[in-house]
Amino acid sequence: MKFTFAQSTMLRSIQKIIGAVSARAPMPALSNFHLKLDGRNLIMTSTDLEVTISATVELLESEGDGGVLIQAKRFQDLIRELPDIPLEIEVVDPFKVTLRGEGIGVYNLPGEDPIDFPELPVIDSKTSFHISAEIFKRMIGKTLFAVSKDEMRPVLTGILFQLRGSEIRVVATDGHRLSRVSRQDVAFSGEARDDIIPMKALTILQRNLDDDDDVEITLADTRASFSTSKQRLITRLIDGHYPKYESVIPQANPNHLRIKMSDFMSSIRRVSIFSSHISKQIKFTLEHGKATVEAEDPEYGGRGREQFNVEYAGDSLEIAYNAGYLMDTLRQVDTEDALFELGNSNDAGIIRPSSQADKEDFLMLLMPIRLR
Amino acid sequence: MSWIHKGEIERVRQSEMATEKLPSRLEAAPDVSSNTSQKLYLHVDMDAFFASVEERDNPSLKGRPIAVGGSVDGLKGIVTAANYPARKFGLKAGMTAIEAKRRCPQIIFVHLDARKYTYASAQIMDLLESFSPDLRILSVDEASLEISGIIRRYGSPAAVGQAVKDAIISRCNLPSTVGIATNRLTAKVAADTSKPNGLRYLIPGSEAAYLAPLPVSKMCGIGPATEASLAKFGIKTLGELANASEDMFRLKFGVVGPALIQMARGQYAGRMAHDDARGTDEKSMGHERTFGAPILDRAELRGWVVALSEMIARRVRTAAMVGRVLTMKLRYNDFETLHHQSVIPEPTDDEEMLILQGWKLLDQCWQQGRPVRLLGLSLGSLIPKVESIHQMNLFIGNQVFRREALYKALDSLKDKFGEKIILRAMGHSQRVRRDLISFGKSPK
Repeated sequence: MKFTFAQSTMLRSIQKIIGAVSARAPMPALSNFHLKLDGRNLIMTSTDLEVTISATVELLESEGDGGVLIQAKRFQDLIRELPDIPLEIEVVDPFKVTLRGEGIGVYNLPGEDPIDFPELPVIDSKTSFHISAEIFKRMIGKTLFAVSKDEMRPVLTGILFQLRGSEIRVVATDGHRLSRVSRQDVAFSGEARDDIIPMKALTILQRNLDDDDDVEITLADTRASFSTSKQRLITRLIDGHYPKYESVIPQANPNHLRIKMSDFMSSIRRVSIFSSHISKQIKFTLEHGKATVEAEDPEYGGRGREQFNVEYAGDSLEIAYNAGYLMDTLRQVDTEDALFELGNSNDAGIIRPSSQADKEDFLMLLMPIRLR
Repeated sequence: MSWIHKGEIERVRQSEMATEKLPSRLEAAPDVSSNTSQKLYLHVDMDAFFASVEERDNPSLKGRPIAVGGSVDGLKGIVTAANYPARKFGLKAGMTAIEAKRRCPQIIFVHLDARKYTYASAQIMDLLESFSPDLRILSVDEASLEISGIIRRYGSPAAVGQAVKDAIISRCNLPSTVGIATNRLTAKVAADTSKPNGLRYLIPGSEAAYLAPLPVSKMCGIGPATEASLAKFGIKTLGELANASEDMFRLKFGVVGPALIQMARGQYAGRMAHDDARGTDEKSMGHERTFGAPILDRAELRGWVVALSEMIARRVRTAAMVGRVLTMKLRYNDFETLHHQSVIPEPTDDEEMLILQGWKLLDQCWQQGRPVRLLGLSLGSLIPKVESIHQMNLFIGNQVFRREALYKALDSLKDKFGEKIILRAMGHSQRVRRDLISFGKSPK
């Protein structure tokens, strides 16, 4: 088989699928790309057995059909270094791959038999729906930060997708913070279901999807597939029960704070310079119309304190947060102001944007640091 | 003996054979328990350990010269240990069997049974740990204990020493020698010079006088080379060394010079003092166990993870630290040794967390069915636990505080009544099993 493609097109496809090539592959075939020529289409696939990604490469010319495995890393390095000109790959038996182009050299890549490559998992399910990539990425973007890295609780290392008629809820939490986005504009008509999708797959999708893509999501018992016209990602689902997060969302926190995002973030950034590098603790003192934020480094000394006017309605309150967690949370707010609904010093606080986007409900929870 | 001694701890003495026999002696001991700031160290050294184990298991050998190691006909091999009757003929560890036979024709060679000595050692160390948690295992047959906290219970330091000796006799029926002094090194010299079956307590302040007449080679850390250099200055005894000029020694020996003098005065414990001073600045805390009979059973290994985690968590809590990097050391029967690490999401002193992480590490690094001879766990990246800092969790709620209260209660029980007063069922069965194995029977 033989085919010709543009360097830039190939490089884009490689970047889409390289994420599923693991550095230490458990079986040698997994450090390869699987190239399959089917008429005018070249389909490139990579997998680490958890996530499988395939991308369709637009070809300039093609001849014959068949498949071959090539070393992913070396192929990527080569394509990256070549100029953006038409390149030709020829595969002759047994799996000898040669790459040529006008004005460049000749490169022989040791190919392998595609029979060693795992077969594409079959998604046997009728549960599927469409969502615009822009909205999908927006939902993931607002939740990824809260995903846990603690492998002792595998269910928290993924994002929960809850389908409830035309509503989709996307939730992530590591126990310290929680983020939930729900949208009312999903064309899903199947039965209600909960699926936990691993962070890795979602991080790759976040990077690979273009805003104007239409994504078809298919959910089966153990796998999910995300397809667009140009690429497809299949991931294993995380097995287990997601904690009952609804029950930890406070229903009537009495203390309401409204802050101006830009000023508030700058204050936190400055004051947190003085927080302990272990706890990153910053403390807020809230009184009617006024807020103080302060931090002290017990180990190396130093203290920072700022006072500013805020809209605050509630009891006088002292509450401490991990500055890193607080900033991660506030970064998801895309309105000028943010709203806090706080309980007492040991309670989860709710953080929301001052106004919700159309058909969207976005809420975050942040747990404080216990004060002595 | 290197094949069964505690890997990380430097072996501090040349050979138990080198020590000279002194009569067993019990010093009059004033009650120092009122002086709580004074630390006291008890050094236990088993007398002719391997040979004593063999004598115990075969009483017909008692009183006769025996050598452990070498072939039974005495034509091949090396003597690993010799009992006291054999030492009278000049037998020493490291001697060829042929040489031993030449010096003492009636010598009886006994086959070396490492498994048996390891068991006895583990029993003894467990026993010592029940006296004081601050146990430093120095080799298979030597350990150092910090005992200032338990003197009141026994009445005097010498009584603690006697209790330790008696406990070793009643548990293992093996003779030992005990030295007690204000630092570990001097306690060791006190033990070395009181063998066999001795007990010596050096009253604080009397160390220098006791050490003075001893030849410099009695101090561990002074080997033949240093001994020869000291001889050039006319220094042959520790007393002469104690009176040497620190400045001159600094010039001649560098930083070691003044340390040597301090050691001779009984005021410095060298590297062992360094370890003590490290205290809460330790970057990791760990425990490991060598198993007499290699373990093949997953449940038993998991039990060991529990026992080791408990011990670590207890030490970490005592030091008011929390750690977040757990390392497992696993040695197979063929001595292939693996180290695996996992990072705990938040620094912890919670044994349950260590157990779960430890089990995970075990599944990662252990090839099922391959016999394991050593398992160790250590918790690293230790930082001080600051009480006020606790990031709260949405789902765990008060559980954390309740567990903290539980550990506090458990720790105070252990402080009062010893480490074995309360143990997890799973780790418990592992920890006591060794004690139940009788010698001469192959453990299953």
